[in-house]
Amino acid sequence: MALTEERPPLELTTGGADVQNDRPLGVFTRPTATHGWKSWVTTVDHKKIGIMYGAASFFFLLVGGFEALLIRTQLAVPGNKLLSADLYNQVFTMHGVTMVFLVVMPMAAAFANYLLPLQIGARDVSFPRMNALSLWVWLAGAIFFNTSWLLGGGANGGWFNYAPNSGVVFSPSHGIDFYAVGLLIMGIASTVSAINLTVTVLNMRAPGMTLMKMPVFTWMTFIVQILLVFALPVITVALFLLMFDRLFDATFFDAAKGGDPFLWEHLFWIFGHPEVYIMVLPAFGIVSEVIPVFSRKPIFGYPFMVGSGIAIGFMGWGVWAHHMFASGMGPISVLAFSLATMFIAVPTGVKILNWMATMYGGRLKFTVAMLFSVGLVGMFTIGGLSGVSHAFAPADTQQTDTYYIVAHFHYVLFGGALLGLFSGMYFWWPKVFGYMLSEKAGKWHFWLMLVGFNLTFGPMHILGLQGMMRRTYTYTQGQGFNMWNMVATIGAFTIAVSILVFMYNIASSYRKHRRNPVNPGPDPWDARSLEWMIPSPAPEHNFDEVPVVEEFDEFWNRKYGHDENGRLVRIARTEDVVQTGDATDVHLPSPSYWPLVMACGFPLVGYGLIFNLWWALPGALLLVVGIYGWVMEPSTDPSASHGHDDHDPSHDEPDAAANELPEGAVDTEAGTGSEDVAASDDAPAPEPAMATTEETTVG
Amino acid sequence: MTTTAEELDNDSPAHPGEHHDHGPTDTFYFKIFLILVAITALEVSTYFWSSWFGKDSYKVAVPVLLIMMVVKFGLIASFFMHLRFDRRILTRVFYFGLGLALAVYIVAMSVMNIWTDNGNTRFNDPPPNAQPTTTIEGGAGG
Amino acid sequence: MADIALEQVEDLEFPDDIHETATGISNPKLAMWVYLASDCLLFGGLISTYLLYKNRPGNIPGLAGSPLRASELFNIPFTSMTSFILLMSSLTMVLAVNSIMRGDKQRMRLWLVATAVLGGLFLGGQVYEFTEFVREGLGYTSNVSASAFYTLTGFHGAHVGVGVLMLLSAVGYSFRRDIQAEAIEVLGLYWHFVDIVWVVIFAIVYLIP
Repeated sequence: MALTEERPPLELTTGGADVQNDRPLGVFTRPTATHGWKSWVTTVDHKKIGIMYGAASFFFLLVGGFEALLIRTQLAVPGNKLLSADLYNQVFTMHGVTMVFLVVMPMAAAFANYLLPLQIGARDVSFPRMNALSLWVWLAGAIFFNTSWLLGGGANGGWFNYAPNSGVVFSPSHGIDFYAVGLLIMGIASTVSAINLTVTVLNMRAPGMTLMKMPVFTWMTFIVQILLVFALPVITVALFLLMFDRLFDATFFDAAKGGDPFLWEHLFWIFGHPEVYIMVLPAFGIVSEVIPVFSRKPIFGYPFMVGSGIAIGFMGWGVWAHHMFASGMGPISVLAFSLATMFIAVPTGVKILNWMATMYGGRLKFTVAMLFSVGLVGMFTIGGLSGVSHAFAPADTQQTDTYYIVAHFHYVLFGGALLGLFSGMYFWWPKVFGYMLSEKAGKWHFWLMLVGFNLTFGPMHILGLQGMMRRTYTYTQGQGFNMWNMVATIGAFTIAVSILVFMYNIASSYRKHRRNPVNPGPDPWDARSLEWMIPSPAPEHNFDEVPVVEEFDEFWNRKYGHDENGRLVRIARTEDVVQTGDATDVHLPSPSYWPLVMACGFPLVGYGLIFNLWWALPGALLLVVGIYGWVMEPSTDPSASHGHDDHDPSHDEPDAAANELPEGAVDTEAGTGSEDVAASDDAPAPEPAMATTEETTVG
Repeated sequence: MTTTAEELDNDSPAHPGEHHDHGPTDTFYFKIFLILVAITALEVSTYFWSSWFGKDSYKVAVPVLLIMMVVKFGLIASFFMHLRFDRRILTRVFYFGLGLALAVYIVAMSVMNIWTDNGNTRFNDPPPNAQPTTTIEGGAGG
Repeated sequence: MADIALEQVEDLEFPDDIHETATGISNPKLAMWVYLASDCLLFGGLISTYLLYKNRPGNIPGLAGSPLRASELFNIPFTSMTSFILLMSSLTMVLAVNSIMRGDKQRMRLWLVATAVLGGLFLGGQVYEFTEFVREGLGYTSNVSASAFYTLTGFHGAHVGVGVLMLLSAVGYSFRRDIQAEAIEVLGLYWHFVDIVWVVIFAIVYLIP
């Protein structure tokens, strides 16, 4: 059979089932690397993709953090000349966009990608190549967005980019074009990922895992994906209208020509409010995993945790105009949105109370992960309280556009989302990388960060109420803002030090692990959910045997039961419950380079739209060729071996390409079984399914 | 894997499951198509109502158009898109998105005062208030 | 309570067959419905933009631009014809799906090509309609109502165009590989959605005064 022959290097091995109909399409053979950088750029493994999201988003945390330090240095003293007004506008805009779209969202995506399939007992997401596409397209968009610095200046209209300031008249540089196109590109990535994860949660759960047995993190991530799926099209419309205004002389937001800047505000905030829940719900999910583990108690009120998450997601659609109280929209609208905003505090309050109730009476262990989670509970409460004060429209009219608002959203986004994400990093680091981060250094990280964070943003409440305006590059002597600004700047540098401590922690823990490798084992924390049932780092195939789930906290309930008095007793040793990761006959989707090909097309189209339309042609070509190449290739290369092939070859079926895109399908019945046996007998290709756990992921 | 499918309604009325050979027949689809054509013809006829029935006919024409639009939408979604015969979750997913879109955009357009005409051609501002809400002269507030 | 041994769980690994997913619906079909639900928000935004701007031509003092409104230039009989063509394409689409479900690849290709042709005719009609409008003085940037109209119908037309490409690609693909009925069904979902959006646009933009 043709598939078992040694192929000359340039012939396509898409491995279509109907070999006689096969015609080469791509230039290169299908990637088969399992080690080295090639295995990373062509991977479709959700775990590797998650790690890459995490690494890239951490890099952008440093970029956005640097932009923040520039802001704080500029504002440390009155009349400072570090940044001109225009440069300041660019810095705070890029800082905002970076932190929202290049840090918090992708970092949450990192956790979602790595953990979701594990927590539901699946082997991967429903569309592995789409998953890779999301990563690369996002990364392409993120880099594209930042090239604006070199190509005429960054976006300078604020992350919310109100019209008419965003038009060519007031913002002639290309910065806002990069904003519009960059966000469109990243929006495509997020939409694809959201559809992927939604279908994964609905369709790929292990047997017995009903929706109400899923971990809270999975639920929160699921809600976030649904929010993304429905919110992103709205900002897509807004960005297209903006782009048409700027590039094709439309006048959608130009009041002098019949447009209405108010439309931008509506479209942006209809997206923008669900967006902030998109940012914080994953952190809520992380905390809902961490606190029960380190309280040795189940999450208090699981149905209410799920229900409040759904409520937040749903009600989040009804409050967007609270960002527009001062826009002149009239008293009835203001009243309606003010009321809705007050109501949305309720489900969040339910969560806070449930976390506290989980801790109450538990055997608390304040590991670094637990410290960050408890930190979230505290800091988010503060941010939430200032948020409630914004809900009262008359009060908000005083607060809006002042530093009081800056304080609020940093408390909920930094004190909420980011602290939660750090908690998750410390918690799941052993699972992902196979070694523990130092608790000692972690505690320095936490306390420095907590103190620095409160020093930075706490005084902003005062500054705001004293009247310091936001988005202004300086303030004058005699306004009374000097001291607290200086305090805030000191706090900002303290945060920076804490991040350095974190980076030091990673480096030194990794070095220590290399010198003296001690595997933390599958379950270093004595945790509760399915991902702790497999070795650390997680083997490529995830589970040896797909677990059958009988109850919530399935893994915990296999280790522990209750005696007659209702007290917790151990019913099985951890070693007996966890899986060994030794399975070698697992079929996994094969790597592919088409997602990368397509991802390279998007920035080219972007440069074409902004500068010269000719650039868009190669970009469009890459996109089209990428799509067709992708469709023609089955999701699992049937010529790839899968380890010691000693079972009935008729089981071997390449998974239908119908997995990936609707319009292409590969016949799975056309006698592929025998090809696989033959292929694995003589093909020296490295095994895509690895039993060894130490090498496939590198810290 | 029915344990996990149970919580999702799969008691779709006529044809549970997907790959069955006795789905709607070609003739059935053609009949639906004819209904759609008839409705479209009726819709198009409203274009002429103002000349047949007078200027005010739009007050009837608009609701009629909206209703017919909804009926066509429903027919295509339920039959051509097979929602009527598929598992209910698909219907719920789709109509949730549709409902969300309707709710959000109707509210947004209402906030932009699309339904009222206060003579302001530039913006759909709210109508100007009749009196100021606070008076400076007068006694102490309370 | 035993976990499922590996050999028994082969099918579970990548269940895209309906019998193996937790909902009983295949991954691509569910994904397409989620995407279509999200597309409602895209078109909702564009329709809302049009509704907000449709009465803002330029002859109102202070507003620049052409005094023409898109609604004044509509040729309802012509657009009714193109709407009917798109409606018919939905019929040919379900006939294509029915054909492949019966295993009749030849018929399926026939109906798919018919659908693509009708879609192409619809697009041709749109192009003709728009060139007429431009000739009569309503270009993309003539005024904000024109921009809104062209953006809305342009996005819809782009969706139709992508659909036509997918239809023809499916026909081409069917010559080389065996095509699954479900793939055509999922493609059909996209096509019917595009038709549904036109039903809404035709009523709200063209017919409602």
